[in-house]
Amino acid sequence: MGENDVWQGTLALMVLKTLESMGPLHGYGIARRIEQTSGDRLIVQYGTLYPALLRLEQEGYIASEWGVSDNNRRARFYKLTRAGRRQVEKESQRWEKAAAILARFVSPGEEPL
Amino acid sequence: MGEGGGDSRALRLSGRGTPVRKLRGWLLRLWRLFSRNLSDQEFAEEIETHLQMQIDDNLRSGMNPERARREAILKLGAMELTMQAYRDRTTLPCRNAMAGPPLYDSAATQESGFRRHRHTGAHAWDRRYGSDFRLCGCGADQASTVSRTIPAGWHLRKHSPGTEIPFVVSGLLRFQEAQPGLHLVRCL
Repeated sequence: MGENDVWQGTLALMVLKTLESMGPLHGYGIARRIEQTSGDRLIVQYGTLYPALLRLEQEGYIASEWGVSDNNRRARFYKLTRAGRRQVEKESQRWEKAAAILARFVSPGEEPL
Repeated sequence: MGEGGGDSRALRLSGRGTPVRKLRGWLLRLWRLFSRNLSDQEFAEEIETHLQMQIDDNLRSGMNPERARREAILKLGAMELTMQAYRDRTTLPCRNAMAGPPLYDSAATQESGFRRHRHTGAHAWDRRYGSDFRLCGCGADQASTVSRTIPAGWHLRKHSPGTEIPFVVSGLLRFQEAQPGLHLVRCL
């Protein structure tokens, strides 16, 4: 995996967070938004994006419907479901906890007394 | 006191979403088995839209049309892999094994019939190019015998992409020796 590739296991959360903040978006919009949010330091591999979207839809976290984009193209739009909103919250907490634990290994500070 | 406040159902309840979601996912995959063509068509349309949007962006950033399209296609990457990954999620795993009878009878392994063969090269190739081009022929590095009827729509293809043999083979094909680089594949 390249340095700029989205880390495995984090794409789903990025997708959910993007849909939470942006509202319904098509696949291209989701990919671009993730890349922009990372300051173009991440590259979304479309080969992993669409299967991830499908999985999230199968699990009921997002729903999709066909619509028309800003530039008048027919596109499939994805939106967060209620279960998806709950999942965002749950996964965000889990991620924060994991990141905090990892940070203790990467930059060990003073041990608590 | 554990999570759930001592409720004997607490453990079961805490993870109750997962099996239901898994079941939901499997039911959807089962349903998609029967609407496969529609699903494939919609996905192809979705990817086409994606490609067009990337081209539009490239044009806006000042590329000429030819370069805009080329760059967009490059960024989209290996379509077959994407399609395969997508299909893996839309079908049941056992279907993939059933869908492509190996048409393969290796003298070394004596595997025949409708079992997926063990030739590791086949799987690597399959993974690389996706099951749109399912490899079913004899291996490049072992003596094999293929004696199966080749169904319509299956081709003989060289191992490397873009070097397709310019004829469609049908009927009975028989190899007595390994034929390096030759594989039987199905094209969509």
